[in-house]
Amino acid sequence: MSTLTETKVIDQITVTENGIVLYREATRILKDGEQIAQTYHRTSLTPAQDLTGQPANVVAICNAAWTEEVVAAYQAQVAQQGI
Amino acid sequence: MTNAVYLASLVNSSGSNVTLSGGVVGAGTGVAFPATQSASSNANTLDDYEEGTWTPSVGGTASYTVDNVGTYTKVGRLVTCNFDLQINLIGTGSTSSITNFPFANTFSAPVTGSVSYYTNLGVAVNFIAFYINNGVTSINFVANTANSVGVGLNGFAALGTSTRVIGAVTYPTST
Repeated sequence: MSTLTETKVIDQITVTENGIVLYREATRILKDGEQIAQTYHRTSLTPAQDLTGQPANVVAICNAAWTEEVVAAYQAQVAQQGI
Repeated sequence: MTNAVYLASLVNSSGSNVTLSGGVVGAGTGVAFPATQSASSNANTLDDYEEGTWTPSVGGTASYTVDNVGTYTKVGRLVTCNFDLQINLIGTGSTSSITNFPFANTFSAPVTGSVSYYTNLGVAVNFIAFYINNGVTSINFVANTANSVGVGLNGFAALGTSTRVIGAVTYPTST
């Protein structure tokens, strides 16, 4: 009898030049240990955003990337982006 | 080596799929790209395909219905994001911006998105759209509440409790 299992893993974390953290959660369906399907869910986090409920490894990267200078530069970028 | 031989070397034993290096074939028929893009510097090379979901958000203490969803499809450097934002209570959430788009816009100017359906907006409108600025993962609404030769309300406060907005935008991204 085959065994189906589901695993979730953060398989990709990207930090953009201006400090936005993009991460991808992969949900994998395994049949007898071999992957037969995979879906993705993506999230983006902007500098200084509330990180409540975010995965610990993502929080660690945000905290490292979001220096005072990065946060200030991002906020300045957004503030001056009116059309 | 002929082109036919090259193609044959890409097709798996079932003859139904083409798997690029690092790709994983699932059920069905198609071309399998690797899970992580192997970016090409050639303008004529398709180097990525990915589809998935994301969750539209207005931040703050806003709450949503269970049907609040977003999807995306990325082909090469171009991503199309669709969303069905369904706010339950707006709380301290933004009334003019939706965040958490899955990729940042890399076009140097704002890219326009379209709204196909809305209900319970904060203010009655006769035109509404939105744009995503360069380098960010959020959109801002624009609107007119009266006939006009230009956009009257930039950063329009469209959203509130029980607002539903369905929209889509396609923009280039670097990842």
